[in-house]
Amino acid sequence: MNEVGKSLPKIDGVGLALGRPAYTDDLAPRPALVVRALRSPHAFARLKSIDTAAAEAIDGVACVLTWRDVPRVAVTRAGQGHPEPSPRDRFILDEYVRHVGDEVAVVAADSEAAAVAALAALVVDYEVLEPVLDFEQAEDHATVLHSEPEIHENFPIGFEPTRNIASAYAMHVGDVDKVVQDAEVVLRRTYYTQAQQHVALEPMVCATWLDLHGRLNVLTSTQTPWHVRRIMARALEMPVGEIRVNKPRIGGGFGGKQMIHGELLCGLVTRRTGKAARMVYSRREVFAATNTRHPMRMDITLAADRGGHLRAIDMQALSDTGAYGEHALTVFMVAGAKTLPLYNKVEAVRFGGKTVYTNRVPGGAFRGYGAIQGNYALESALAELAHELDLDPVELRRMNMIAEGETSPIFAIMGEGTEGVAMTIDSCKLPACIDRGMELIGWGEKYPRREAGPEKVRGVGMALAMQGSGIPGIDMAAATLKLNDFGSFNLLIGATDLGTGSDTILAQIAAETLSVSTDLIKVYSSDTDRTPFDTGAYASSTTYVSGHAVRTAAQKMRAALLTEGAAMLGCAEKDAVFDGAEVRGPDGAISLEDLSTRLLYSQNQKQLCTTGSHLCEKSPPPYLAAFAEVEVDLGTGKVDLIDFVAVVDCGQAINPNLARVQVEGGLAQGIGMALTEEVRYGKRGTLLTGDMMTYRIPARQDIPRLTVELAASHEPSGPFGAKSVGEIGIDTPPAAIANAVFNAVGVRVRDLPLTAEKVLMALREGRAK
Amino acid sequence: MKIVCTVNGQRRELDVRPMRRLLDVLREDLGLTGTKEGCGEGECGACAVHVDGRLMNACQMPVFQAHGRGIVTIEGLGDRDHPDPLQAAFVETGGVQCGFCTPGLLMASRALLNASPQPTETEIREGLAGNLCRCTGYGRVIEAVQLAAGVPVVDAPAPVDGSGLPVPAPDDAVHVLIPDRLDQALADRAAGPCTILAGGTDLMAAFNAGLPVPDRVLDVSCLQELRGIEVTAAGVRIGSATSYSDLIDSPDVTRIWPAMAEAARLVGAPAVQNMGTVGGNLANASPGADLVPALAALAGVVVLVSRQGERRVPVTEFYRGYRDCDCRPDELIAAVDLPTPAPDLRQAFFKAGTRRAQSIARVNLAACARIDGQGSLRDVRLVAGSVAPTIALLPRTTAWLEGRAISAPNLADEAAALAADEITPIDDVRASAAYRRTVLGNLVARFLRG
Ligand SMILES: Cc1cc2nc3c(=O)[nH]c(=O)nc-3n(C[C@@H](O)[C@@H](O)[C@H](O)COP(=O)(O)OP(=O)(O)OC[C@H]3O[C@@H](n4cnc5c(N)ncnc54)[C@H](O)[C@@H]3O)c2cc1C
Ligand code: FES
Ligand code: FES
Repeated sequence: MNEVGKSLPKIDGVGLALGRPAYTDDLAPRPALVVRALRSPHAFARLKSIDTAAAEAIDGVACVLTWRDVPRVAVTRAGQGHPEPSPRDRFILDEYVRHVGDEVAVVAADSEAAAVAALAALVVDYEVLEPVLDFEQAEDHATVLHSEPEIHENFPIGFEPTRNIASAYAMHVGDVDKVVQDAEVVLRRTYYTQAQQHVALEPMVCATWLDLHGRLNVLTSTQTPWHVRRIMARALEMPVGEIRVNKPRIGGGFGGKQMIHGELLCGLVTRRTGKAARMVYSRREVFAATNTRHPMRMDITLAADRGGHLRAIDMQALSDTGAYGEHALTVFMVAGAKTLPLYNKVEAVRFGGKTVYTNRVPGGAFRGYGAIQGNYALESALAELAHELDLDPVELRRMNMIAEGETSPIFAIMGEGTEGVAMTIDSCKLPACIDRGMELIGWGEKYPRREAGPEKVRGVGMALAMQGSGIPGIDMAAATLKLNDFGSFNLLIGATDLGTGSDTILAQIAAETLSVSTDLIKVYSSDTDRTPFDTGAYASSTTYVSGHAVRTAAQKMRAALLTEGAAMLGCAEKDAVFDGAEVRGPDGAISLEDLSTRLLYSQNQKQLCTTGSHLCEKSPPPYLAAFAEVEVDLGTGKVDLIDFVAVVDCGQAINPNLARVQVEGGLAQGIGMALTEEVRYGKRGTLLTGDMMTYRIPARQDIPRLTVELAASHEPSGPFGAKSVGEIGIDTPPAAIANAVFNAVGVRVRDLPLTAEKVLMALREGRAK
Repeated sequence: MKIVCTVNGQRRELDVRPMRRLLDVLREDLGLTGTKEGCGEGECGACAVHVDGRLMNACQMPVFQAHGRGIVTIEGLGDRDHPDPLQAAFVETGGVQCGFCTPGLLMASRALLNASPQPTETEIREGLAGNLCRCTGYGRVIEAVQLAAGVPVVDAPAPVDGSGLPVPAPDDAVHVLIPDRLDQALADRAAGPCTILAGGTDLMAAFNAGLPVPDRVLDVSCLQELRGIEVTAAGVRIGSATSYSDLIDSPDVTRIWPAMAEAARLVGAPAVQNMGTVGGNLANASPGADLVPALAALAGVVVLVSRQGERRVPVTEFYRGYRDCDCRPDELIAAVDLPTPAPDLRQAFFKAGTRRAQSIARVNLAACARIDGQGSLRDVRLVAGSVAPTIALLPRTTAWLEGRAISAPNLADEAAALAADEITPIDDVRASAAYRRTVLGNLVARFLRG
């Protein structure tokens, strides 16, 4: 292979490093109305009245919109397939505000200053209602968040809004209770995971305008242009075909942009005023009014024999979806679906629980979606079990984990929001990942702990993870290759590069298939008008699903080049070969440059254009073995990460360097979730972590050198043997670090993050005992 | 207001509202969209540019402060034909992912390499500490800087001739006073209420968070009389407009007042250190300020001036309560004086934050003491931050320690318990009261164990 497997630099790298205009707000039309939202100071309130007169009178104010001015259509902001598995439980604007930061009204003005003045001039009379702030008290709470008659589920997801339940789910294989009763060892634990926020460096931003034809054009930083278009059309009551959504470069998404944000408001302003509009979220708005990872409580029961053979796993979870049910069911299901099959030797397994509404920032999609929550609980519990049985935690995993050629009944039972698809594991290099990881971290010498100074102790811990590669039966992607004169190609793809390098990887797949060099492939991605369809960049689907579509398009292009080349050479197609540079027949050859130019200008004239589309049929999991070394400061409780090793089986990496960076970036976010990141609220539901000083993503000094290696692997069902790699990196750090902290100082923190405070207080209690 | 500056080597005459952020003027007026906004409050570094060769956050600089200065943005760093070696290296290693943090990060990397052409990995991590990236996990960026280290670059363009002051316009929404002499500043101060602006790191963040911009702003950043570090045999005078970087770069400060140097090093990250000032830290009166406890423990005296003359207030007496200091509306802080400590004075500054950079202390402690010929503790001073509405002096612990033998059994543990007991901190988003007590005690013990 020439192009696949090569660590080519990102095709947009140079332009971005030069600071060329690339992102939505760099390119948004000017002049444009500045759209700003008035945001609720209350966690739950009814808007008794909104006086807009003073705001409208301000010079430069183009329009002021309240819930009375918008179509009354229930939608979900979750960027998911159609019909969405999330409840349609919100409106563009509503009479009720359900979390601090929820939208009360919208103003558009021709300057920032006028917009700010208009916001200040709005007079709102709130009827403040009792909020639901504790998700463990939410079910059947006296306060009901959603009683609007229009809201509904699209298909059964367990939606019971009158009980504050957004979704519910239950599954089982075998008789868990019986196995637990009989088992030699039973371990029951409860773990909590916190709300985490994406903090993509580029905030949510969009711009809208009407084009020559009066169509609504939307330039937006989104991971799911087609879903945005479809949901906008529904909310704004206009035909889908009258909207065009385009995404330029994106400054990071991580799932945060798999939701609709300003698009509905901005679009409405443009519809009302006829003018271009743009809406840029401030960082404080991103914190208060977008989405977080769903916080969860996980009650886990493990049954095993004394030798460490797992016999049953029971995972019951409660998930907090905040004010709206965005991704409520699907995130919940993944907590089981992307963790439990890892230990497939059990006799019985059960998973279930509910997702409830509270008056908090809504939950939403976030890299590692459910999996990180489930992974933290399961991989912590396994470490606790190993400790109780006095077994090496690595051995415990080795004894119980899934292997190549095996399956799990869970694959067929659980999908995302629906049933799943049965599959056999054709590639799983976990044994190699574990061996190499142990070697890299120096497990033998370092496990479990060693002194590292007068008040410092070091310890190591580990965790395994699996993920998926797209959603089978749902994720679909398409790609079109167009041959240009003088031998270059356009690759038109629906896939959405959110900074991950997927444009580059997909170009490499096209180039490899065509035997040409990647720089001949000029990529144009994700524009609902100009490129073919793609469900979007989520669920680790781009390489595996979109990659297939690209490969198919390129195979067809290759065949077409042979046909046309052979025709020009006057030979039979079967006698012609194409090596990327020329089509060669028995008696001569024609270069790609020549062939393409003649096809368009002089001989047998036609446009060669091929399209491939691919429906995800299975979702082969990538795997990862992670090893963490931490140092705990006994005086402050601070946990410093010393080393983190991750060895990944992601199949054949299309671009090893980009694959490694994906894992490294995921690890860094997982490390943040493990140690410092937490969305926190005050007593009345006000957000306490509304800026980057109080919400702390890891900075450079918090992340040690991460050692990421890719195991040699090949997934038969993947394009060139590839599986996904975008999400798996994030899954393991919470468990691996929690396990390392336990091994270092004997303190088991069962609620994330492992702040210095929790560790120190637990140490003190331990000492007092 | 009319100002003159150079942007990427080109002279620019700008007619701007003075309190607009340099960031907005670059992006909206000059079309230089390479500089990004990630937070608007100095925390992420996406907006970092060079101002007279120093890294600064364009979201925290009111544009009038750019007058007479040379600005370099990412667009001025290199172009497709002549990229800066760093730009090429970032692409090569994979340091550019989504790319949104990249312009600021490149400007920080360039500033770092200009100051230290062959940095160690630790220096790189410190130099780039104020530039958050959510995509890469940082390793690639560090590799990229190492790759580009030592590759020579063409010099940054020469700064403009900074003579003359900006010309205010009658329709400026905010009246910005830009005196170039202290007596003029004091006259302005006496003429009516005004908000003093120095480095802007606190004020501009507050404006971004919704604090209304006042009608009259008095800029002290141009006052040469307020800048500089003057060391004499008796001590040092540090002008109020002196930046953290000036403190860090001063060998005398590091040698004679290491606790202060350490506190300065632990403030924010390079761009904040280049902008933020000593006077601003004192006047901002945040209970979590890092420099203030160090200045207090080192027996600093705040020098306040007004048209009435000079007033000297020890740092330990400067604070009256939460965010309330003894600076009258007609005064400004001119300097802080520190005496030269006894050569055998042990000094330390500890900060328990959450993250190593860009984090406000959950607890900090500046501590000084001497051990006399008999092995007894003398001149003990302990000053803690973030544990009370203002700095906490720990009088009981200090008195208990004074004269006690350093080798006394359980000295550290008993002092820790006393210190934990004599403060009454609060629970807030950063930490609980109980945690603050425990950590403060442990930090006192850490100091005593040496
Ligand atoms: C990202 C970030 C990280 C930070 N990290 C830390 C940290 O780790 N530790 C820490 O202690 N601080 C930290 N800070 C705050 C720190 O930068 C400031 O306290 C700084 O010292 C203020 O100086 P300034 O010149 O920027 O003040 P300005 O913002 O200009 O002014 C601050 C206040 O002081 C007043 N003032 C300024 N100069 C005078 C004067 N001469 N006389 C009277 N009043 C005056 C102003 O009116 C204003 O009220 C951080 C800030 C940011 C943005
Ligand atoms: S925008 Fe984040 S520091 Fe300026
Ligand atoms: S590359 Fe995306 S934030 Fe750094």
